[in-house]
Amino acid sequence: MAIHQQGLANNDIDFNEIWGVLEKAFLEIHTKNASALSFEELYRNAYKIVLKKKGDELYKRVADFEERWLAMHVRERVVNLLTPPLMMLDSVSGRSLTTTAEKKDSGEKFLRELRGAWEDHQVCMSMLTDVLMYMDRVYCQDSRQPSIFAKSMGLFRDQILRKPARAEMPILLDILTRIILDQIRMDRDGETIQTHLIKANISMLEGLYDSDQEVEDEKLYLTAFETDFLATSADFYRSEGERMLRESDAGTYCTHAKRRIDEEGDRCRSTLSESTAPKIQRVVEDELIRHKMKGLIEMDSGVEYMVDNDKLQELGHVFDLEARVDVKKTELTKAIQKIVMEMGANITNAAVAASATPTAPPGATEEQAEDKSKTGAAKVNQVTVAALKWSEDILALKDRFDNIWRQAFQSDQMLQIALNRSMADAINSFSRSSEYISLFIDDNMKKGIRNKTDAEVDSTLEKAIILLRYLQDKDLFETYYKKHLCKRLLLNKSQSISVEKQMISKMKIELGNSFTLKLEAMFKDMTLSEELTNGYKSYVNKLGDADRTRVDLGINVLTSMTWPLEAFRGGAAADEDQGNLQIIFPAAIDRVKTGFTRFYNEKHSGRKLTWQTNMGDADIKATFAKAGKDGKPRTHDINCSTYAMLILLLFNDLPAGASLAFEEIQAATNIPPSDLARNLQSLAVAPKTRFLVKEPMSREINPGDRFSYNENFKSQFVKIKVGVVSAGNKVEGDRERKETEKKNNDSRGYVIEACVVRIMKQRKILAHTALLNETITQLSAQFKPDVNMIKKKIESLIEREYLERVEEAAVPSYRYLA
Amino acid sequence: MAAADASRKDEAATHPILIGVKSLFGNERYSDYTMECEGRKWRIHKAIICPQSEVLAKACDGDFREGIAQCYIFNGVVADAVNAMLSYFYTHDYHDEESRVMLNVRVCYLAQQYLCTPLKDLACKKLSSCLSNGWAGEDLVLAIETVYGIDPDGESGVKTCLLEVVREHLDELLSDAEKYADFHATGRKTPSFLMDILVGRRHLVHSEADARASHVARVNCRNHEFCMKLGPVPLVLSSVASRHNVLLRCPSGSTGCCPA
Repeated sequence: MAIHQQGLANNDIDFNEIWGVLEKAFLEIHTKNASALSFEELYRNAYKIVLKKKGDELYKRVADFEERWLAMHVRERVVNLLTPPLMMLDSVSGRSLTTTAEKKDSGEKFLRELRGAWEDHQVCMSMLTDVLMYMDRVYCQDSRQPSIFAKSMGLFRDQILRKPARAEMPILLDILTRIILDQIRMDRDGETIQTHLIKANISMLEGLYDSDQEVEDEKLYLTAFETDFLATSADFYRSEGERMLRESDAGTYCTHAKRRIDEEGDRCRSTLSESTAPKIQRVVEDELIRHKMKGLIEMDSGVEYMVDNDKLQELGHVFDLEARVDVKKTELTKAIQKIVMEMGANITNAAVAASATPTAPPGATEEQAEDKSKTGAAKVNQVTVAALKWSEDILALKDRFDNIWRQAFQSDQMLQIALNRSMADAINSFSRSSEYISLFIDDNMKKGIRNKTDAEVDSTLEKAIILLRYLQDKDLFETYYKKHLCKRLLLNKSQSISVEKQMISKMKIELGNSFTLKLEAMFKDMTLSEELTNGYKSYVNKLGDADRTRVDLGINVLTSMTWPLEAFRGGAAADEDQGNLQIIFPAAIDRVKTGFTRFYNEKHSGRKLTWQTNMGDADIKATFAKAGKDGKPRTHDINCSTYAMLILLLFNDLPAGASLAFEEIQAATNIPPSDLARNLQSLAVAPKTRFLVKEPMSREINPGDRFSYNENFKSQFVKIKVGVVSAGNKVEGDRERKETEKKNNDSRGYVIEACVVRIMKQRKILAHTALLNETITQLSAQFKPDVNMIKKKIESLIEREYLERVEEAAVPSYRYLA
Repeated sequence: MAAADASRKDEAATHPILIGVKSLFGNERYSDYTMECEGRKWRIHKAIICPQSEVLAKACDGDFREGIAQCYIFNGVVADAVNAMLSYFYTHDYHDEESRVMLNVRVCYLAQQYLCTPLKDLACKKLSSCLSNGWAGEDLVLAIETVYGIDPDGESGVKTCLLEVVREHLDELLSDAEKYADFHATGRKTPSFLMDILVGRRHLVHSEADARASHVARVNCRNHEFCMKLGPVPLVLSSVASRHNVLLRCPSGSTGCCPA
């Protein structure tokens, strides 16, 4: 036993001796005097100790040595640099006592010292680790101890960072965090700071762990610094954002926010840790963008101002900002939609207001205005102008936002959808949009495309298609378009039939075959009619009786269901039933009529021709006794309506000086009183075409008025056109519109019924909601069906036993009855 | 297979890089560092040595005297062993024709000290091969004394080699006290050696039973580099071992850790 004990004692002496050598050397290393030390000697000694199974003792001694060194030499040096300006950071009043420069300076000194201490510690420990490599590899691995390097890093953390700087003071780590945050604050305020000092200290925190287990996501940087940093930054940017919203304008705000985000990213790279960049940027995005977007957009200088003043670049900034935080760009989308809707509503209101203003636009209608009976017509015309302006304005609105979308919103898809939706809403919220768009096309067909190149014409048509694309009630549009097209074709108002056809083919592409079917039929009728007229001419010539007095006939044969002939009925005539009244023709005219009827029946048997006497015009050669120079007779070519022709023909046979009463004229012609009144107004009141004299002379045509041939008619023109009051395409009167709508609703009813039956025939049994949805989907290309109307139609179909309710079904359902 | 292996070996041995490196051993040309032991000097090439020995690399590059003076002096080891280690760094082999057992033992410990496991394994292999050729010389006793002098309680490949030979010839060694007087004398002075013999015997007796018993645990065989490379191998905890929590023996054949 004694020998054994001595053996151990020997070993102990050995150990202490060797440790003495090592400790002395370590001291030299820590005082930067290693150059004289022999690596081999230190390594060999440490090896020997471990070989003698004294690794644990050696490990412990080294750790103790380091702990002592840190506590006694290093901590003091660092703590000494905690000068008053730094320690006053935490008290609010303290801030005002020290200048920023002092604070910055003291902070830098402290950071520099701590960095020095950390770097020294690392250098020394890596030297110690080198000579203790055998211990690390053999003892530490066998006994599962952290390497001596890791252990000593933990000691640095515990002895330096986690000790209170002085009694009653926070631990150094907290002070360090605060100093760094303060420096960052200065950096954000525009001071120049020593970024490398902070970076070095941050690297230290990144190299240290919360515990000796060295868990990767428990680095001191994360647990002690980053959380604080993010929280302080959130506060900072929250108040900065609020201040900027108050004091700055939106454009500046955007630039600033973007700069801040970039700055924070750069700061992470240069001063902090790369890994924090996404987190802090997220904080800035939250505080400056996500939480402020609404406020930013609603600023006086916000999105509305930018749109109003075409600040495309700034709008682009707003877009960029929100795009960072929200793929949907919710706030911007909302704002833009609101603006589009408002602007759309303004355009519509302006159109409504313009059409209601009684003052006639100067110039164009001045000559008509002198004729008081035409003020009504002038007003209608004004409404038409408003309709055209509405269309142009809506197109301009679209162009404007398209431009913004392209230049500022990077052609973003979300915003495109939103813009389209608001444009559609703006257009469809106006109940007369279908009519206005049709009028827009009408005007262009009649005047707008005059003297334009093909490309310009095409772009005009394209504009119309753009409007049409947004339009929901395509069926209503079709009604108006047919009506307007009808007048253009029959009254020869269209500039170019080929452009008309171009338009139709564009609509065909946009809206489908069925939409243009009837429109194309109208063109077909026109072509056929031309052939008929020519055919009739040669037919008459072949008859051989070259009667000079025979009246020439040009005719349009119209398929009755295709042509909306009610368009020609004047507003006042709407309540009269013309069908029952047989117009009385003079013999010359009647001959032509029967002649053509015979000719037509030879070609097509079994067709009934109905003569639309309220339409058409006539060319008459009229000789006035005193119209020429020096009061000599002069012949004028007069172009007038069919009715006017009938009226004028009556006076042919009248003896000179004789007159006819209003009632007599009506009895002789059977022209409906309202039409008669209008035509007489043109012939006896309008100054330039006053072929008749009215008694008593007044603007209005009243029953009992008498008319006689105007012997004193004079005109400098050979050709005279008698104005026809309701010839042009104009905005409908309220009553007309109601009628159109009613008609449209009726036809919608049929379409809905047909659709429901079609669906049910295919599906046999279908739930109520499914049927509704299916119907709405199928009809959406034509119009947006009213749900109540669908329900009514379903009821009606049940009544007529096309459908029946399924009694036993869980949800309300219908069954198709074959 | 064997032919292919051989040809690959030949190819490796004739690789120009290897030939170049080999030619540098003992060659002052391009040398940039000096190593010294017992007055003998070697001009060596850090580019060759340092990548193979982390310890020497730290010494050469560090801020200690060895780094500044660019000279490393070995103490407490013999020059032959240092020469063998340096030779190994250049050629992955060393010559052991003279004083074979003792050189191998010394190289083995030098390799252990400098944490150069492949060299340690090579030395063990060489040792066991020269012991199997002739075990009865006085080298064996010298080796036992040296090994137990350096590291009486530790576990090492060298010890295993020696113990294996002793166990194999134990009857003969014990029966002729005169012929093996040195062995007997050494045994008397070296109790830990005797303990190792005894534990080893017990292990032999019980190993089969233990292999079936519940003491068998799969543990990483820390000391045995080759076993570690093969992954966890079953280690038999002898009852003695489990009581003392020491002496884990690898049952995968030769504890000298030579691959089969």
